[in-house]
Amino acid sequence: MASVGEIAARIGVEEDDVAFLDAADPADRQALVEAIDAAGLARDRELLDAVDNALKFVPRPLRGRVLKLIGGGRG
Amino acid sequence: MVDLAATAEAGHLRRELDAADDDLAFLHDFAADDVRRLRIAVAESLAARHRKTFRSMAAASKLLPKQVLGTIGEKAVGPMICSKIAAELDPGHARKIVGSFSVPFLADLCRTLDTVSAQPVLLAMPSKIAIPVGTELDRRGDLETLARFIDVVDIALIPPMLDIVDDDALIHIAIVAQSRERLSEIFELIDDDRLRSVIDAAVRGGVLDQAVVMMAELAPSQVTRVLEVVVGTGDVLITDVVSAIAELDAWDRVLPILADLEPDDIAVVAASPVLTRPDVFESIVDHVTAADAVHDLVAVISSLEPAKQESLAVALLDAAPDTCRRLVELADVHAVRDLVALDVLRSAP
Repeated sequence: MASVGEIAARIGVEEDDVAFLDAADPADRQALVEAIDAAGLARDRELLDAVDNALKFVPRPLRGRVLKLIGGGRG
Repeated sequence: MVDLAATAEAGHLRRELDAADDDLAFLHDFAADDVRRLRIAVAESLAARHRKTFRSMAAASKLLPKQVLGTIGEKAVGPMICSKIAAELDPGHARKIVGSFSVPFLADLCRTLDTVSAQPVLLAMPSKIAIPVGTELDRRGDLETLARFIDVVDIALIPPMLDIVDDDALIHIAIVAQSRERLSEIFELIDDDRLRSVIDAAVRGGVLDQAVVMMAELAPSQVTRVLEVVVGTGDVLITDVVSAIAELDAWDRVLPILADLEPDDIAVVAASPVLTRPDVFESIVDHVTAADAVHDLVAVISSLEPAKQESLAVALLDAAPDTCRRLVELADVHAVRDLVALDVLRSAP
C-alpha cells in the first residue's frame, strides 16, 4: 500500500504538501498511485501515437522540418 | 453536506488521469484546497514528462497551414494532447489558429486544459470562439470545466457568458470557482433581480449552505448587498439564509455586516421567527460570546420597536431559557442597559 511519502515522491512535491492523504484509507492511496502510474503510461502511448498519426497528415514538403522539430522530443 | 468544490476538484483530477467516474471518490471528503493542490501537482508531474515534446509540437504548428492543423489536431492528436500543446503556444499564434478547430473539439480540449499555464492563450481567445465553447460546455452540463473557463477568460466575455448560463448553473459555477477575484467581478455584473433568483436557485438546489460559505468570502459591501436582497424578499429567503448561517456558524462574518444595515432592514431580519429557533439563537449567542460582539447583537435587537422586542424576548425565553441566561450575563458584563428585550429576559424567574 502506498504511503504519503511515496505519493509525494511520485508527483514531485514535499510530503507536507499531500499530508492530508494520511487520513485516507491505505487502499484509496494505493488506487491513487495506480491511477497516476496508469495515466503516465497512457499519456506516453497517446503521445507516441499522436506524433506518428500527425506526421501522416503533414504535407510531404514540410514533413522533414516538422520531424526534425518534434523528433528530438519523442520517447 | 456535499462539498461541491472538493467534488469538482476530484472531477478535474479524474479527467486528468482519465479515470472512471467512481474512482477517487474518497477525495470528496477532503478540503477543496487540498484536493486542488494535489490535482495541480499530479497534472504538472504528468505534463513535465513530455513538456519538451509539447513545446516542439507547439513550435511545429507554426510551420503548418491552419486548415491542416485543424485536421491533425482533431483526427490525429486528440483533445488531451492538444490541451497540453495549447498551454505551450504563443498567445498570438493561438489566436490565429483556434478557428481551425471545431467548437465541440475545443470544448473537449478545455476539459484537460491547465487553465493556469494556459491563461495567456485563453485571454487571447476571440469572443466568436470563446462564447460558443462556453455555450457548448453549458449545453453538456459540464459546469466544472465551464467554471474553470470562466475563471480565466477575458472579463469582457463574462457578461455574455452570464446570459448563457441559467441560475442553477450560475450558483454551481460560483461555488466551485477558484478565483475569488473573478467571483467578485461576476457579482458586480449581476443585478438584484438575478441575484435574488440565483439565491432562490441555491435554496431549490439544496446548496444554500455552500452558497453562504462562498458569500462569506465576498467583500463586506457585497455581503451587504446579498443581505439587502434577502431582506427584500421578506421572510421568503430570510429563514433559509439565517438557518444556513447558523448551521455553518458564519456569524463572525455576517453579524457585523447585518448590524450595519439600515435599521429598517435589520428590523426585518430581527423580526423573523427563525431567530427564535433554539439552534439559531444559541449559535448567535455562542458567536457573540466568543467574539465579544455583544454590541452587534444589541444593534440588531434595538432595530425593533419596544413591543416587538418584548415579543422576541418572550419567544426566546420560551424556546431557549438557558441561552437567555447566558445572554443576560454577557450583557451585564458589558453593562448593556436600556433595551426592552434584555429587561424582559432579566425579569424572568
